[in-house]
Amino acid sequence: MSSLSYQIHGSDLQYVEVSLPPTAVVIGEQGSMMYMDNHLEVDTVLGDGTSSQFGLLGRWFKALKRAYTGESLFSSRYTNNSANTQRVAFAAPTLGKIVAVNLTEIGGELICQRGAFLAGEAGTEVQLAWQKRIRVGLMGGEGFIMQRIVGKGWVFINATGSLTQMNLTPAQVLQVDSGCLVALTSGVTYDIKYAGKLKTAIFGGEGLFYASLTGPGTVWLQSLPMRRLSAELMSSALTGRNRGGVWGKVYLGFIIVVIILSLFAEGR
Amino acid sequence: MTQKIHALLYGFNLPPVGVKVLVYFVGQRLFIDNMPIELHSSQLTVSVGGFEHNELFLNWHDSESGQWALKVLSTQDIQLLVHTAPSHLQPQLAQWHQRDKHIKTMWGVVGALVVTVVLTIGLFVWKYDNVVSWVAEQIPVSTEQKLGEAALAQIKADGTLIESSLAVEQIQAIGTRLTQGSRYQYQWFIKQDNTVNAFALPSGIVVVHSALLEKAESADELAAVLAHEVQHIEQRHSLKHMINSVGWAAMLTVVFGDVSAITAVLAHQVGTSYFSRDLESEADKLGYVTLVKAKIKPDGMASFLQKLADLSGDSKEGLAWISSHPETQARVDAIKQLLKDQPCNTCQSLAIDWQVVQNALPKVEKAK
Repeated sequence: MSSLSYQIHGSDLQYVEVSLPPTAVVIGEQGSMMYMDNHLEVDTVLGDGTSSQFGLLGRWFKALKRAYTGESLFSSRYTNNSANTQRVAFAAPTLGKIVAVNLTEIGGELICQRGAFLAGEAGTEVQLAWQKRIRVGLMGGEGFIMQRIVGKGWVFINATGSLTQMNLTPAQVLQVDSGCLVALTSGVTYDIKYAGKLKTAIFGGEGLFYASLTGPGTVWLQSLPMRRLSAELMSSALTGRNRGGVWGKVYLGFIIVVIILSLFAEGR
Repeated sequence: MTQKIHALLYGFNLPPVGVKVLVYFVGQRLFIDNMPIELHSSQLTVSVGGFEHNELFLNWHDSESGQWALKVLSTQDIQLLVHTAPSHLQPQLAQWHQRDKHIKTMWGVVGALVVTVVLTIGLFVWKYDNVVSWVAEQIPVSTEQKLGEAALAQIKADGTLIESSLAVEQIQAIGTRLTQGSRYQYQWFIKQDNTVNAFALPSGIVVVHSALLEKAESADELAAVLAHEVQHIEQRHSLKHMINSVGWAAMLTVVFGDVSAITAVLAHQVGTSYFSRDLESEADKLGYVTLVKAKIKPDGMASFLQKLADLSGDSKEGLAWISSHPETQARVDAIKQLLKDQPCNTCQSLAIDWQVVQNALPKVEKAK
């Protein structure tokens, strides 16, 4: 049934080349297209192009919800109207790997971190998955909003760093640093676990909580969360030195005190 | 007869996505269609999990093949399971409802908290002036004195402050009439300065620039300026202004969280290094009342302000007072309205020979 084929190119900065047989359709995230063959028809559609029982208004609402999950309001639809196989390639927008997931094989539903969706077969829908448990939403590292990708066939998700897939047997628990979780199947229980010792929490550099993932199911993990990468780049790029430590705060406090004192020195 | 429950089976040698199966209870035993598995209900434990925390799992352990799990597919299947499961599994199955209720309660609490915080902030913003005034009133006079003395010491260091002169004595005499019954111990000074200005420091320190005395045409006009400055002190405008600035600084620091906030605060501070228009008109209005109470003819307030408003057009000397007192013409009009609405018929001009006071000023700085 799933008729298209794909090949992932590149080692660390990847792109995926999808081969579309005649009449096949693929949906790509806006701006991710890298190259394509001549006879593909490109169309821009609202949301993921799927219909809604509430008409145009419903489609707008769906597209807005989709936009909240880190995707764009519109996406591009590539249709092969020719008699030959046509290729289209999508590049990951960040430093990282692309993973192909066959939704049919994993039960038609995949939950991903925001912005993970890159491209997918026609009919795959990106919905909003709301984290119902407050402490997980606050401390789990993924926030309250994730993506729920539903449908059939192949989807391509991307994340920063290396991506790895892990199968969890029933009741198997994996502890993950918050932010490293990319995707999970809906049967996996996603909870948080206190790091255990205050010492670990403060000096371990891992935060107060781990994400704990309980099987059965499959999870995908990334080695370099975007937040870690951007924090690292930011601290060295902005000032050339890191002012985030204790002395930075003392310096900040000093400036505030000077400003407060200067208020008195003014005349009227 | 037996209704079958749709479920996914996970376990040894099965794909990680599970296998669709049909399960059913016969008495205490659980059977799985097409699987050589038969379990007694005492082997089973119930758990709730999944991303949505609404999936029901039946778990068991096999000494050879490890941990197994059954995920019940839909809500209907869960209800069917609850109906057909043996009675001693029922307390465990109740978890499913409790979890749901727990999540709903938590969101209810969060919703209530958010509403409370929003209402509190709304109330705070709405009654902002009252809040600032209340905070300012909590600061003891002794603290204010320290602030004032520190600022005064800096001005004294310039060496341009005149502490004893006939002019200072006259200012003191007028000032004392204006500050009857005040909680502050007032001190009055003249500063040798070519800008037409006067300012008040916390705890009752009033400094009048010598140029202002030269510009003023009568003692009444000086009294009007003093009454205005006295009200800045009485209403603790410096403190309110400070609380305002510090509040902004704290808020910006929280919002931006780094040094860039400080830059923003500095910019803000420069922008508001003078009292706001509201505080100025408050000082005008209450200053007027003070003049009337002291039986000093209040017309000087309007005439002096008018002079400054006119001055700002052609001379740069008036600028200091103008820039610190924005919308001068509007203030003149407001005071004229006050003169019309609350005239003081018993008030009298001050019996001070103004020429003598002006002559008492040292004239050395003119060349500057």
